Amino acid sequence: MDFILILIGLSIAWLFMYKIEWLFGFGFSFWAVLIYCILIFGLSFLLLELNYSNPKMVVALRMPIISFTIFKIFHLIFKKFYSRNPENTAWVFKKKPIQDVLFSILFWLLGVGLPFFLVVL
Amino acid sequence: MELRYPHVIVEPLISEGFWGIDGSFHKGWDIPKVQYRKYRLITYINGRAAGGGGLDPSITAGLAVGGGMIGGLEQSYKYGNNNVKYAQRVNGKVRTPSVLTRANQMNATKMASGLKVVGRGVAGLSVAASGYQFFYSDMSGNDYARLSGSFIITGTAFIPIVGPVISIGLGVADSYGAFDGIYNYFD
Repeated sequence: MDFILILIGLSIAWLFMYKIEWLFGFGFSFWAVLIYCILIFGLSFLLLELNYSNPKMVVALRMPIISFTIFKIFHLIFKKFYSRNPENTAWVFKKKPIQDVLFSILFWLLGVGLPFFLVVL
Repeated sequence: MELRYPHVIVEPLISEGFWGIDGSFHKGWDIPKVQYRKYRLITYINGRAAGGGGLDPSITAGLAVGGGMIGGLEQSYKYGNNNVKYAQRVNGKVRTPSVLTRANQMNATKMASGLKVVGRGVAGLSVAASGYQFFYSDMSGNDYARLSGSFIITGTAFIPIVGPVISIGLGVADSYGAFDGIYNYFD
């Protein structure tokens, strides 16, 4: 169960890896992801209140909303400079533009890694 | 006083002082800027101190090696003889070089994209395992450094072409404690 909470906490990272197009734009997918993140965020407080599962792990449910916010900020900056959507460069064996590589690495470190530290504060 | 259990050693703090970050005991409470904890909980697996979550280091090493094998297979299907065999198996006996090349390219693309999906999943699971250990740890400087190291190592997989290979190498080295000296510096 604890590990599942971590996997749910990495929801945005999974979308980044497999369905990055869902994170672009402000259409239906944006609202669906945003509502999901808010629900998961609220659920973490509810589970803590009910003393359900390990409290150390429940805070992982707060990570998606932080990750999503950071992604949207990075995406807007990227789009402003390059007028296109970035690509995920994980596990690719072809040459890719350096700006996409930097975007991917920065999001990985700040959008996926940083929330781990923020939620335990 | 030291309490011993099969896999866990709990070292209670003596009330007149605290354990410094260098492992030595300090009397009194007036030494500033030294982080101390009420208890230091150390989990040992196979004689090695784990990050606190109880995950065997071989799990993370296995994930890294698994990712490496997938990367190798991907390269093999893209550039090696397996590509030709796969195309022949799918399309029957291919006779002309041009048809063979086209079939190879199509099937290699399909296979490579399928393996990439698995490779990314392995990277995600590796990070999830590191996060699991972090949340279960006592959140000391060592644990922060270990999780940061994990993200840096998996982050190298975002470098095209050579990144996954670097990531696998660093991941295996990390799993067997190659960077423990660096992590312990932050404890």
